[in-house]
Amino acid sequence: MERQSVASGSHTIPPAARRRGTAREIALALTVKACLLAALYFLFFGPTHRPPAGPAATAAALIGPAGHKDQR
Amino acid sequence: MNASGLVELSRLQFAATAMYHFLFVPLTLGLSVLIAIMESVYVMTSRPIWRDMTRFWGILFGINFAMGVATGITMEFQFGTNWAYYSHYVGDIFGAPLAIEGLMAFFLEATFIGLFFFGWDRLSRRQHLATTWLVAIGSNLSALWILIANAWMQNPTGAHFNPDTMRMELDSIGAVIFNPVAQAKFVHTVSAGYVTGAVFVLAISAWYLLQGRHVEFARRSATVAISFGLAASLSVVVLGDESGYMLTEHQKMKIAAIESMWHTEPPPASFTLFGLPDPAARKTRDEVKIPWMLGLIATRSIDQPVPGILDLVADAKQRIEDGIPAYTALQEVRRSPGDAAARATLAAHVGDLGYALLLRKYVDDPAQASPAQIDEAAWDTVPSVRSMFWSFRLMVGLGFFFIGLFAVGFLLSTRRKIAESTRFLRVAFWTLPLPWLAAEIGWFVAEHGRQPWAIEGVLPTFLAVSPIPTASVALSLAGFVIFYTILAIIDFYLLRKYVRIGPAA
Repeated sequence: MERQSVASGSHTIPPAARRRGTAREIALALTVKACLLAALYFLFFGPTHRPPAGPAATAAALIGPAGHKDQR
Repeated sequence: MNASGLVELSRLQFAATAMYHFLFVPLTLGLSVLIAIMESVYVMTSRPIWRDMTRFWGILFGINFAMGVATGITMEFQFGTNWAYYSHYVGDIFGAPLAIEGLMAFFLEATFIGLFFFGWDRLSRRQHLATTWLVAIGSNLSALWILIANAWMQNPTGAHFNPDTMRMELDSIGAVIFNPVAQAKFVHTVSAGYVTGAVFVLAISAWYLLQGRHVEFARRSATVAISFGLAASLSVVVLGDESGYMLTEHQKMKIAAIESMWHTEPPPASFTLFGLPDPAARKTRDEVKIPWMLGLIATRSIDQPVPGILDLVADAKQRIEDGIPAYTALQEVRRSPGDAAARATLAAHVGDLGYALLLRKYVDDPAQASPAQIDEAAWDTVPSVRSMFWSFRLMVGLGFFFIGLFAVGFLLSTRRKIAESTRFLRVAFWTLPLPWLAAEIGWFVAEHGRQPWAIEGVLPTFLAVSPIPTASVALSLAGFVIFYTILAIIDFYLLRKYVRIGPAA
């Protein structure tokens, strides 16, 4: 009994077909996810949505306009 | 909504995505090692049941991995958009471990996961086993790099502040990698993942046994899960103790808040098992204490005090005052980069610059801050005591519950009574969501307890946030909620479907 695979003969669908089904479902789920991630990126997080944050902008944010070289 | 609303909304968005991502991570960490153990037994014994176990739990691992992978990437989106100043200020250090993690995830984990699923008929048994162990090692190493990055936020080491570039710059990658907080966090976090994997396998096996389905398969799976889970749950508690010791070294306020300890605890410091924190009165009512225990956990001694909140606030006040000259000097250096005197003053006080930045919440120029404003800023260094106190106790309580569950399971398993013990199997099944709850609470304690800092003692959270419209953060948060809800539904549907099919899947 122990040496017999529990997977064999316990379902009517052949294992190979079932594995293909599993692979198809996971591939579909991954595709949906990739599309949603891409949509999120382009809608909210692409380069146009990012504020500039170089040394001057960071200085202005952290230590106020006095820290901005151009404010002299 | 005001600036504080923008900060809170940005924090909520990051917390939501991080907590959602961490629904998948612990199961990936735990299942990857469990299936590697199962396959090792298969290679050693050649019994097909162990191959079936590897393949079945491997499918559930694959579904969890497929749904979970890249859900963390949305946090990295947010660094650039919602936390632009944070990204600039510490990107030189923080970016390196994140990049290494990305490379490791894609080149090690992803490659070998492909071989794991599609290599059964193409690789020899030993080659496939090596692949499975590499998947497990890859998953755990990915976690290591993320935790190195996170630990640097808790204990910023191996870096210095450059006033010309307005950022922290890396001095020693070795100090960042071997940050003691990172090592403690890594072993604690992966052990918690192993507990999650063990509870997952045990709970589903218990369900099969209760239904009388796949009995031999479920009995063996439960036995592996129980043995692995017992070792892992004991490790979580022991290694969590090491994390507690690290807090005393590097985040004294966090441990004081966890203990709701308003006054410095004289040696030998006692641990508050139960109490009712009263932040308004700055005291803890009806305390039940265990003598010496906090001293042993927090200082590894019985002759050292553990500082309380009131003393730590007084320290913070002093550091704010000491940081004001650094702030003023930084302004001078930015105006006149050649000002050697300002640079010398900044260098002398730069360690407290972050504390002076706390005043920006109350005043435009910290040099003009009143004593009342300094006092308010000092009290900002205290996280929410009540939520820290209860969250920590719930997490620890769950940790001890897992030890008890696996210990009972171990006894039943050694007496070969596991399949008949209906009461144990029911408890084991209903334990299924608890490791996730414990893990999420653990992160809450770690991250909420770090407030008001984005980088401990260096950069306050409210100054790290980008100046973007609040509406856009609210809109993207809604987008996340929809996205993650869809993924959660697909994940739950697939896991439930394949669990119901059973090993024949």
